[in-house]
Amino acid sequence: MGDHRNTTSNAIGLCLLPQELIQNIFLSLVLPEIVRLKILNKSFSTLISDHSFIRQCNSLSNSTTWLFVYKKRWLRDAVLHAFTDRSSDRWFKIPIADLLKPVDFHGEDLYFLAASANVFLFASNNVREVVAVNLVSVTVKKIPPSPLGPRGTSSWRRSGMKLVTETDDNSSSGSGHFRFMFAEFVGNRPVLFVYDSVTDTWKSREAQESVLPRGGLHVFLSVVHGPRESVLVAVSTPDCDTNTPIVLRPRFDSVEGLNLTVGFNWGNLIDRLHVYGDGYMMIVKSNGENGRSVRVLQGVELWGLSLDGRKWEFVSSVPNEVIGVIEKPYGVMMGCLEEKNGIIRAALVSNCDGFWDMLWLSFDTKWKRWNWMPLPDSKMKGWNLAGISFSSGLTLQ
Amino acid sequence: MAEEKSQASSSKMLTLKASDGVLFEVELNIAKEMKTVQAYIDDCEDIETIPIPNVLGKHLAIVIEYIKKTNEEYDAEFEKQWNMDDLQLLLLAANYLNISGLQECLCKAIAKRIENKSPEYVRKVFNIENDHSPEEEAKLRKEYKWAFEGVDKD
Repeated sequence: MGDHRNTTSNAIGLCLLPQELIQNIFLSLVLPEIVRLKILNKSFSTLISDHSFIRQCNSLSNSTTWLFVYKKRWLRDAVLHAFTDRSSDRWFKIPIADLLKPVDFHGEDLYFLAASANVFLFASNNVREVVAVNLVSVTVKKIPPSPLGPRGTSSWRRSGMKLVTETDDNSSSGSGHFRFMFAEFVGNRPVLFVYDSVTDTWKSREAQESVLPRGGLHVFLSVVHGPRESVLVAVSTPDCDTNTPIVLRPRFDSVEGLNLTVGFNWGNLIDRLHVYGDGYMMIVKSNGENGRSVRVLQGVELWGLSLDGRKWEFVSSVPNEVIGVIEKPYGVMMGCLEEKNGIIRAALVSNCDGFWDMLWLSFDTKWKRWNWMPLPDSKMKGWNLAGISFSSGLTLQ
Repeated sequence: MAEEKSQASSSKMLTLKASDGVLFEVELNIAKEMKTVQAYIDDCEDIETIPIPNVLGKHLAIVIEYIKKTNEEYDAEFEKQWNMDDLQLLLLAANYLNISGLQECLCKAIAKRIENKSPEYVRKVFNIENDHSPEEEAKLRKEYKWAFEGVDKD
């Protein structure tokens, strides 16, 4: 095996594979794995720091979807769990506590709000502040309160919110620049609040009653959802802090859909969980027996905003054969939903007697196909869930 | 025996000669999947035996079998049969012969086997020694602290 092939070598031992092939192997790994390999030896560390490799790695990472779940039991045990469908079936554990020490946030007090690329947002209930953690640059920064003043976690959990990092707009590796936005009623007008990390300030704009423009990309934020009508704020990206936000009031007339059982009494209690995100709504129907606190999943429907934003339209139902596999008894369920590049992903988290069960569902709007994946046991019996969010992948710098 | 014209090219046989002298007779359409071989044929039309100097007969046999049988199901089971050394040698072979599907399959397979393993394990896999100073290593571990949690015991 000759030197002409640019082998990765060092004084002792000779690696069989040339640099290019090593890099290809590493590109099949997800970022936390790749970063660990820097420790192998100097050549490999250099290989991973190579600009072209970083670019390819980040490009793959940007189109990867991660699910982050924040679980805590008490003071020092708060851990962010991460899962991606690209890796073998396991959870990554990201210890957040150390990173948060400089800002005196205590693990037990935190709620995980959102994540995008390397930026993670947490809200503290005690001090009613929000902090942004950048995992890769290992920095932590408190975000000034919005014009609405300090907010407790229950307020945050109610609002639709979105975190957008610069990598979403172009494929340069993260500068850490991000925008964080949410919508809330002020008086009885929906208002959009946008924080920009570059200026470290908030901008607010009242949403206008208007028609949803066709084409272009929008961010949709929930304001309130009632049984028959929702209120959302839509704003065009990328200039979401200067574009005029629009109020949407889609109506939900469920009788238009197929095989829906609104109001139909099966003799048991019908439970409906609505999960919202990115202009879509997932309805999870379960039935439980009167008096018992345990329910069983019966059906999952996906609805989306009509083109003009005036109503919710039925998109698809999870096929019966999948329901057959995923139905199991549970006590409580919650979830999160996102849309990215025409694929809608939902994570449904249920708890039964302290045991956690998680399911990842996705619907491809182009091929009209459902996919599902039960998530591996995260060994978190008895822990509390304090925030869940999808995100794009971490990026190298 | 008279052959259909459309079948003529696919029934033409080629001989590939591995580095240890082992000979393999393959159909042209199989050989063409190896872009390196294709280039050889393009250059010298009448060639019948093509030397493959970098690949042992053992591995060339596996590569040819892969090309014949590759599909989603086969690929999923393919890598399970080989140990790590063979996987790397097969990857070198696939790289030399320029077979992109096999290269991808093997890269993924090797990645899967080093996933979640300790640095010591991975160093053995690639036959490398740690030349970081203790300070350098400590610095790396600190910088990427968040990534080092929860590695499997080997």
